[in-house]
Amino acid sequence: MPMPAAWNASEPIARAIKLLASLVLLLALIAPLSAQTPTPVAPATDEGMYYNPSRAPIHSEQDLLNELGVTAMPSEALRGQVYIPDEKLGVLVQPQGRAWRDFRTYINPWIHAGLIALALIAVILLAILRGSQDYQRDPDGRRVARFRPVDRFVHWSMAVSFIVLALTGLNIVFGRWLIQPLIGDIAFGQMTLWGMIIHNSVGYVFIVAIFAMAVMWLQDNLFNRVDWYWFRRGGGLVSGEHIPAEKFNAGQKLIYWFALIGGLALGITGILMMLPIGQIGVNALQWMHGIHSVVAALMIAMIIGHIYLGSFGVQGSFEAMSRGDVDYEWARTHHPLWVGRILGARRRRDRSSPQPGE
Amino acid sequence: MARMKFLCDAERCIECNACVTACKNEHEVPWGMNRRRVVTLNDGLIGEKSISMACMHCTDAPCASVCPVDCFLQTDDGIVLHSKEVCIGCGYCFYACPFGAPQFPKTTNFSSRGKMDKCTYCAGGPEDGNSPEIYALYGRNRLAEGKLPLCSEMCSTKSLLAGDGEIIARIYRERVLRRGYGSRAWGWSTAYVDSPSPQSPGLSEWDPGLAAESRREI
Repeated sequence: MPMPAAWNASEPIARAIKLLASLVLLLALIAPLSAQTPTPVAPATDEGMYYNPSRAPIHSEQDLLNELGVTAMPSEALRGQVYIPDEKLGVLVQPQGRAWRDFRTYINPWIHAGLIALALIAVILLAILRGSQDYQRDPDGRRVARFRPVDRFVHWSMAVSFIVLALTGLNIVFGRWLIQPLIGDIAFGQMTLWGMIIHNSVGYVFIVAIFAMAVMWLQDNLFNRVDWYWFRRGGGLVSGEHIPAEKFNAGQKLIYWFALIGGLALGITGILMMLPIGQIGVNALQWMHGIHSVVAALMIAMIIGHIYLGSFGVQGSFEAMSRGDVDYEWARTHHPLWVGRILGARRRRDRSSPQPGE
Repeated sequence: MARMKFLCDAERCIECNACVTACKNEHEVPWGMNRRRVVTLNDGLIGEKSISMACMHCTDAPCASVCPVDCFLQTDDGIVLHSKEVCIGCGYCFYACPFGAPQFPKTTNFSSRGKMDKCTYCAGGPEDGNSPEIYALYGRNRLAEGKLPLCSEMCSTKSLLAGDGEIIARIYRERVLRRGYGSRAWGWSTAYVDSPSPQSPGLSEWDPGLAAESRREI
């Protein structure tokens, strides 16, 4: 009797222990689940006309903000599908535009201003230190033919078109800051519109002139050992001596090659920029613009030096391009090897052809 | 004052192109030009997403920054407009725009691209009014009639949101907090550098100096 009684007494306890154990096990199992159940708590900031209490947030707001914070702009262009014929609109976002904007707005004007300022400072320093270089005129007034009419025509076509292109181009770079505040938006818009049309038209004259120059003056602009000597002496810029030169000295040859390479670069990039946008793509256009701008800045700086040396800096040199001939003594001072070659050729011709009196 | 913004919820866009059509119809945008378009990424693949994209009316607008004739202005509510009287059609704004928003009427070789055209946020031109001349140049001025841009007003899934940045960010946040982040609010942080999160501070905290280049009266 007592045994069963004891049994009867202990059975509920054992059962309770069993139940408790299974309950603990169950709790341990469902605990993570119950912790994930959303507890609708409306953040104070979300209480407004658009907040729906039945749709309480189940995601951390901070996670969302963090995730949005790092997805500012993709590093590469994203291209997708569009159902309109204009395929270039398939580019969803092109981050390169941001770099180009920095170049166009903040870097390019400084490149232009810096190079032009450097060229002007160099020219002014040269004018102060060396002055206008004079030469001994030939007592007999003899002159040597230097440039044919066709040479001069090509040179001046190139020069005038370059100056027009440079001014209209610089208007695109600086006009918004320098000219627009003075003349007003509408007038400046018209002016720049016509400037752009002129720029895009005169460019062809420049390209043709560059090609003509390249062909006509190539043989006189090939570098040789004489030029190496000229370079080593710095062209006599410091010492003030006259380094012997052929028809063109090494500095002039450099200008020829820079004008040729730079002119071709400007022409090619310029023509490509006139194509419809979809033709070569916006990123290619950004590169074309960058090359066009930097090369143009270099060319403008170089031409400032060229204009100075061809006019005020070296007296008598302007006549070569205006009249086509130069003073005999000027030629002997600056281009002795060229004069020697001309005279030598003339003497040989005179010797070979019999005199009419003999 | 409100700071007007666009927000495209790519989780909801079903690529129906109704916004594109509505925009073309409302403003009579000429053939070959699209102020708004729908771009589909990963078309036909898992994870396909469609985004309706137009001018985002950026806070520090790149187009205004690079324009050689400075023909852009930003209204007090943040809408980027441009004057077609001043525009020369050089294409620089297209080079700079991250979203490819500027459009040009002419696609011939070696001639002007014509006056640039882009989304006006249905706010007409830089000059006030709703005259036929302004309509022909810039399209309808719905904002002056108290209406929001048509593209977002008629969006069937309410994927494309337009309006005060603070309010549409709140709507988007409510969606995202409920369903999870999923996709992105496309172009939002790129366009509105003042508020790189959907928690837009609104104009009260929006520093107008950020957009100094474009905030110029015409």
